[in-house]
Amino acid sequence: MNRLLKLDFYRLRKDLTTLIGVLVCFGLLLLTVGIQGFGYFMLKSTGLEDSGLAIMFLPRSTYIQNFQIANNSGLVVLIITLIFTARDFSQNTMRLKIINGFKKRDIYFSSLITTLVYGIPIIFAFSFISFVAGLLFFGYVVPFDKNEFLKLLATSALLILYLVLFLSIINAISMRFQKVGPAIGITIAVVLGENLVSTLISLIPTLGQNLPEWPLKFLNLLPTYALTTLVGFSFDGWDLLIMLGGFVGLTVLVNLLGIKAFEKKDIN
Amino acid sequence: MEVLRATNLTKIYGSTIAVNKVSMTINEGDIYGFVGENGAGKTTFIRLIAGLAAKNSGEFTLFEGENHAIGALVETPSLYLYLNAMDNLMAQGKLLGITDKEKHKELLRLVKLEYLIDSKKKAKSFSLGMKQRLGIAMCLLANPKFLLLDEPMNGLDPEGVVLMRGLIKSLSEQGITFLISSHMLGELSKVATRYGFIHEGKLIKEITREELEQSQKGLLNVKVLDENVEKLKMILTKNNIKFDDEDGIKIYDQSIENIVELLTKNGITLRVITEETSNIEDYYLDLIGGFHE
Repeated sequence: MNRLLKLDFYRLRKDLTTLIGVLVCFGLLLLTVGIQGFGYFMLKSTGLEDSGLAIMFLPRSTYIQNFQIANNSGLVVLIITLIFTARDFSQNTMRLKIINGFKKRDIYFSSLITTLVYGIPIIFAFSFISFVAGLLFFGYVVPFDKNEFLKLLATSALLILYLVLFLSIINAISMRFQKVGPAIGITIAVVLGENLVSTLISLIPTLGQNLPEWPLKFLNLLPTYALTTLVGFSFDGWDLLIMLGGFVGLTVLVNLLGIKAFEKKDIN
Repeated sequence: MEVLRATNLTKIYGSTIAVNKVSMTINEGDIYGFVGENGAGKTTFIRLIAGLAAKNSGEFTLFEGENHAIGALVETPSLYLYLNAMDNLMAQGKLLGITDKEKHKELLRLVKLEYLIDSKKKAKSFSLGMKQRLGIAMCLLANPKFLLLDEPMNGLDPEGVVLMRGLIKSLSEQGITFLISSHMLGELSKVATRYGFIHEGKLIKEITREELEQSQKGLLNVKVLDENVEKLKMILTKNNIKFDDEDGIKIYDQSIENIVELLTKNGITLRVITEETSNIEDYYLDLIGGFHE
């Protein structure tokens, strides 16, 4: 496993595509910060900076939304990691790992760890820097206390788990389909499909106002729905626990299915 | 030592039996030429042995159960196309725990790619011959005792073919055992010490180089003075020697020495005697019963 990781990190370091991914994310970050700055100066120039409109640029919400895999840096990381993983098959270099006697399970986990080490820091840095930029322009906007700080910490931890889940999905699909094209198509379909289902389900609490509150909490098992709850920042301990269960449970399930599928599939 | 023993190895894709109960033994030092038409099952068999595909039934054992490295070049070489030659070897070295650059340079020299040692040229712009040889260098880094080469001469220019042949011979002399599949039977016959013929997934014949050479002997074209032709036919018939006279006299299954002795004894003046050797292609076509669509 150690040698597999050494090879995968060497590939990561030497592959120009992964560097391009970082640069594109940096460009997107500048754009995001620029939009925040533009919003601030628009409010300031119209004398509306204290009108409450600054809530639109709430740094906390920007921070959480930027973790979403179908947004900004998330989408770039999704495509780059898919290319990086599937290229090991298209260039037949996956064969080297198999022929040299490494187990498919270890190969799978090495690829997953590499993907996580590449993807999470990029998305986290992107979200954190845009959060700091928002703070500089608008301040925290809402009152900041110990409770707020703890909620922010818990949210960050869950957001990392959210990324682990989606990067696991990307890795599992790449390992199963072994080709860049189908892997990108299927991953985007899965991500957008989950997004759509979560969005539709998020209408349930609004439409069914007389529904009891506790069954609705279980909707947080859906990753993107959970993200919406986090953006709203109106969650309690149960919500967090259900989200934690959802993220961890789904991650374990995705990786179990991914390993099984990879072990069953012949190498191209 | 048996490097490979396969017993009833079978691989099925959907309704197609790609490899059908193939049993094969390859001994240490063999250069085993694996011969068969497109789709006969050569690549699938190699993929099974290399661990790239899972068998449906049967067994195979490498090195009698001992743990030794193998190398394989299946169809196209496995290279990181965005890396140069030295970086490709370094990547393979990371996998094997061999990151000594001198060792990498030594391998590039061995496969006659020493001019790539300081080159920044990426593998994607290499010629096929360069890719094949770099692929072999990558395999050799693991210090394999058994190399599986699937169509290693395919697409190579004449210089590439000569280099590849020389490389196989030199590695064989260093103790590496080979399983080589190839369409280029003429080329294969220049290196192989044993042959396995596969047809429609089944191994139909195994033969050593000596046996093959022996089987190819025995067709003699004989020319004698015109007035001796009928006498020659009579003598051959009398001695139960198989021949035909459709296009000159052709004598089967006899050595030149025997025929010369027979003619001299019977006072027949020999003008010309030549041995017509069939080649491995003819042998293969005979085995599978001629050309197939």
